[in-house]
Amino acid sequence: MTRTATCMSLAGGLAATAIAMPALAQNGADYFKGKTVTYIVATSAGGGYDLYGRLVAEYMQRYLPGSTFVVRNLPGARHLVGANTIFASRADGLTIGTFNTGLIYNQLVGLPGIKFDLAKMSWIGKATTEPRAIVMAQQSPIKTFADLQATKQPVNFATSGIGSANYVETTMLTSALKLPAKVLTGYNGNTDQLAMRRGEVGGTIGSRSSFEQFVQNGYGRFIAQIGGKDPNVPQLRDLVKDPAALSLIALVQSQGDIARLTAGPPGIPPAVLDALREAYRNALDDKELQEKAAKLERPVEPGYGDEVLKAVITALNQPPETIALLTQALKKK
Amino acid sequence: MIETMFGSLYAMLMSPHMMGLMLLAVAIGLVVGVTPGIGGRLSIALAIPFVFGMEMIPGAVFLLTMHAVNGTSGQISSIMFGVPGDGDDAATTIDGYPMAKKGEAGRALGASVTASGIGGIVGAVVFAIMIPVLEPVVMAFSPAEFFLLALLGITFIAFLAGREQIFKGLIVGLFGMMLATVGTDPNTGTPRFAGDFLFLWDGVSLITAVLALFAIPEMIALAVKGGSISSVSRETASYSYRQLFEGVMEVPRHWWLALRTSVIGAVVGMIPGLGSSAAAWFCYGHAVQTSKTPERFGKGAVEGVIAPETGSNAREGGALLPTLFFGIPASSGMAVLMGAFLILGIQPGPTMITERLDLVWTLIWALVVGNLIAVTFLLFIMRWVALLTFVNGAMLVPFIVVMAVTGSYVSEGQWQNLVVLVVLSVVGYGLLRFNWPRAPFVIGIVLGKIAEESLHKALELWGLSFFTRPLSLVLIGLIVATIGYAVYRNIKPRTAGAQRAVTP
Amino acid sequence: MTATPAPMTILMLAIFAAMVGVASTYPPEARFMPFIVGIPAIGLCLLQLAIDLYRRRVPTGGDGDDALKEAEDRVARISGRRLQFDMPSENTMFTETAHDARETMRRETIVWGYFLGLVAGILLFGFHVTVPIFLIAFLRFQAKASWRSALIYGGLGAIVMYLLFEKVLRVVLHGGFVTDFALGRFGG
Repeated sequence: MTRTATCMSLAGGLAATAIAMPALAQNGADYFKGKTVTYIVATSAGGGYDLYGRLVAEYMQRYLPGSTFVVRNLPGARHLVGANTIFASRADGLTIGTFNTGLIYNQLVGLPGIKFDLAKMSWIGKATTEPRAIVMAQQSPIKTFADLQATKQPVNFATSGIGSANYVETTMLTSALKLPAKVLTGYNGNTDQLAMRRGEVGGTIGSRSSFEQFVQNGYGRFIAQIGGKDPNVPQLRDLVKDPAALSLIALVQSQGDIARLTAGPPGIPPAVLDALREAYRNALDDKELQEKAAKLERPVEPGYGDEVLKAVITALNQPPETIALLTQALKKK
Repeated sequence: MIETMFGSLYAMLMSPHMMGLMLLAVAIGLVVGVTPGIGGRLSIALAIPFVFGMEMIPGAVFLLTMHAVNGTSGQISSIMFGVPGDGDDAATTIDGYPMAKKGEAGRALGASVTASGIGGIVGAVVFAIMIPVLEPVVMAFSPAEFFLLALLGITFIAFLAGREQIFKGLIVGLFGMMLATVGTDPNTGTPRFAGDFLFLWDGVSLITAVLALFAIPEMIALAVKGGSISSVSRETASYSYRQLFEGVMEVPRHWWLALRTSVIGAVVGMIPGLGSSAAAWFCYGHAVQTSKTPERFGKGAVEGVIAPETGSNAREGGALLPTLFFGIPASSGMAVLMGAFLILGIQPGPTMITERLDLVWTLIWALVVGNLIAVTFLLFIMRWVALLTFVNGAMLVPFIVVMAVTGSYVSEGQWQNLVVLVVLSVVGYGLLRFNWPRAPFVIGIVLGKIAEESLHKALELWGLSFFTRPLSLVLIGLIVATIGYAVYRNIKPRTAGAQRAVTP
Repeated sequence: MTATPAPMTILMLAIFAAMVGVASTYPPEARFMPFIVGIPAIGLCLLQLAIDLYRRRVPTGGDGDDALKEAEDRVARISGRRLQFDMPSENTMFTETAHDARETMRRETIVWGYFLGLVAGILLFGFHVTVPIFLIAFLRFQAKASWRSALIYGGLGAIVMYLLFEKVLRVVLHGGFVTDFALGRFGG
């Protein structure tokens, strides 16, 4: 091919693409034909986020015919790396992903390392609700929440690393509720359960689903929960009067309500975003996916698009007292 | 009880479906495990979609076998090319690769593969025996003991450094520990040496460090030197099958060591929280410590290959215990496995003993049989694989380097790790070039992290009085004894001919 | 003779000094571990440096067994312990090499150049573009393979890698900054 010919065809190709792009975007789902969507999971392979992520990716692919969904694990700095990457990626709808909802706390308090703004991200949906619960070890003498409030000796509470969502929640709650708790850090993964069995640690505040088995096996008991449907365990908001504490509990609950979310960078063109949301809705309503999720003991309680966005924005709009409480709790360590 | 035991074995062997699945699992596990960085959690996570359709027992057997065998193929590249697949493979590389350089790749591979097999089987046996006493054993180990165990492991550095280069060995070990401090500090959450580099907040990736210290420098050195990996020509080295057989026979020759290290590996595996690489290194250190001629280590001592291999395979059997019986995974690989078990309808917990003992035995047998299949298969193809050490090095180097770089990237998913790889490779190459020991580094980086985290927790829980717990006192005694022994061996007057007469 | 170890010791010393220096800006609990590890390490590096410098004044190798013993004595007196100074080389690569020091340096530079080029290429252009180029170039120019062999082996390796990661494992490999940028602009 001659030089001129190459230049001309290249120019022609560019022009054609430039003209075609907006037109393609109009067609929503067609846009994804032949394209690869990268679904970023902010943890390494195999954990809860990865499992949900792969399920969602697999089924979204079915509802966006012609597309290929590839899961990319991007662990690091407690979901910060994944979230930052999703936020910074090109807003063409071809990169979306999942990360810990708890990053809301990070943003509220302005913890270091944040390169995103959750309010601006393009929200696609959330997969489930993960209510929190206060779990006490079996051998602990504390049987009810009232016992916990009344106890004289500080009780050891296990959390994962400093700065993690788990740590923030626990510190925040124990300090707002004025509980005699000594917050211990460094219990990653399931080591907190082991510590409870050993008697090193008296209790934990964490997502209820991770302790379901534990309690069923008789190793622990739930003394309060935040959100969730279990009628046998008291709701924390019913046990507490202080308004500051109550607003904190509401924050934690709203967090738990939008668990296992899927989002994309800000500025995804509306037609494309709608197509993604539609596919997500279909994926989560799919019977097969629901069965698989149930087998994994990770049931789905989906939420879509704008309702998730609203929840995030509400969560991020906390009164200054709450933020002060948060910042203070974190400083104490 | 006996009928359950053998009943499940019989059922497994007699079912073509099960055996077929096991063969498939072994094949997949071996292939995936060869490349550094891939394997372990990723392979199980990838297998999960297929697991949805399986029935409980075949599914569990499939996953477990695949997981158990994953670690086995890493030793091939460790020995042949000096490219470890992960942290515990590095222990095999220390003596395995020098053996390959002497033209003894076949022997090293034979020994290593057999050792893996034996380790896996003994691990399964230990698992079976420990079922009744599991609970008190696991419960006894708290962060205080972890700290002291890590400290004990670190004192092994003194041994590995060897007599002549004790300062250098210690320096390298401390370097490993220093690198372990990179990342968010467990006490205050300050990101150390990382600042805004989020990719370092979780620390330096172990695989990247190990590849940078061992694989890359060896490959560069090979390209520079020219020739093949084995400095001994093919004709001089003994015929491959015979060498292989010799290697296999080394394990029974060192049966007492193999048995001890298998048990150590299984016990270490049982204790959640010690990390996956610790087993192989404890075993390696134990072998050095208990050998009459520790100078041979690092230059191609076959015990240096047998010990870590038995240890790391035995660990798999041990790790099943808390995972199945408490629902508390003993390692991150086990955590993923547990997730998969849930899909299959298996409920880990104390009810396993009472209600599903048959399943437990089937899993134990799966480990044993799976290991045997893997070993047989590997031994069969080893003959051809070992020949690669006689090929012109420059032909191999680019492929291996690509494999290492890819492995480093895949393990973390972030390109910045490649920069870390390059920087550490410079240090690694310097160490190799100027004859500094490198083994203590891995101990330092693996155990340094565990030591600091455990110390933090132990202090949180008990303050300084954690030293006075009974098990802690025992461990402190062991540490003092180990240090004392190391010092004694170094001060002991050198017998005249011993140093020069060393023939590895 | 192997190169004198001193440069390595100096490098290690520098690394530890730098890390301890940075660590001193951290709050007390955070700098505890780096100090406990780094400060003794600095001490050991200095000791090792002293030994290296002594060795320099003493010819080693075949001759100088007496001189060696003399040096050993000196250090034993100073440090209170006996250290062996002959270090059986565990690495035969550099003592048995056929190349002299100059040639080795040259070859080292070239091979390091390839390695650095590979990593830089991957960062800029991604795995799938850089790997085949690296493999083919290395095979041809370093391994002195024929163009045919280089292209076949290199090409095969790159293809296997592509299939394995893209198709089978579905693992995403770095796309390369330049390549991603270009694809974003012109492709879709």
